[in-house]
Amino acid sequence: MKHILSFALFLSFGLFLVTTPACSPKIDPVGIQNASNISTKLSELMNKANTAFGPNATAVSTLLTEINTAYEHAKSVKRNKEIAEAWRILKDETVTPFFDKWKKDGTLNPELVKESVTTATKSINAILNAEKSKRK
Amino acid sequence: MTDKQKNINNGLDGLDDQIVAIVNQFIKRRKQHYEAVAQKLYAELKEDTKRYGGLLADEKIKTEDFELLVKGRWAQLKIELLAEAAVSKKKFEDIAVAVLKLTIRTVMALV
Repeated sequence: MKHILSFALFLSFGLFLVTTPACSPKIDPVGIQNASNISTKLSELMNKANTAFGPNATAVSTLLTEINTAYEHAKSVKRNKEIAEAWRILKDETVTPFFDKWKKDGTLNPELVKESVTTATKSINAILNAEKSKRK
Repeated sequence: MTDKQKNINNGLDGLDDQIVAIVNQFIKRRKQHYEAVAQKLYAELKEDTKRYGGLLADEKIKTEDFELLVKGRWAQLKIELLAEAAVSKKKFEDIAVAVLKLTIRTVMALV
């Protein structure tokens, strides 16, 4: 009986060791690269929103495409639904409404720009930190 | 601090109990955990919303700017929480939408 209990305990511990690392997502160099690149470009472009939208229209379109590509990549990675959802929120609830307003109004209020840049920067840094905290 | 700003600050402070009530509407298990998450989330949002409310009261930004800022700030907190994988996505979304509506309604009524 004692041997059976010891074996069961040993087996449980072994299974725990084998399965636990597999449950946490593996580090994703493409995800880190995406977050890092977009972080710099996003704050630079948003900071230009107190100037005319027209000359920045192409840059806005390119950046939105890059963010969408980063979202699609995050979605394609296994056990990555939280980070994929974070990219979707950044795209749909932060960046797109800001750029849409810039396009509609022509230029934006400097106070609005300053606060929005802070929000977007903290958001993408959270994504970058989450990517970096995955197991190697 | 202007009277408008004081009203906004008092109005936001008065919502704390209502945040717990909103969480209880959506969460049946591990209530304390979710209440703590929602209160932390709301405390952080409140400070920034007060600042946005001050900009609105001083007419430095328009109402639509204020709404964009509050929604963007909510998006930031959702991203931070998702990045920490602290709460499940669907339940958090329900709580966040209800609290966002309450926050905007309260501030707009006071300005």
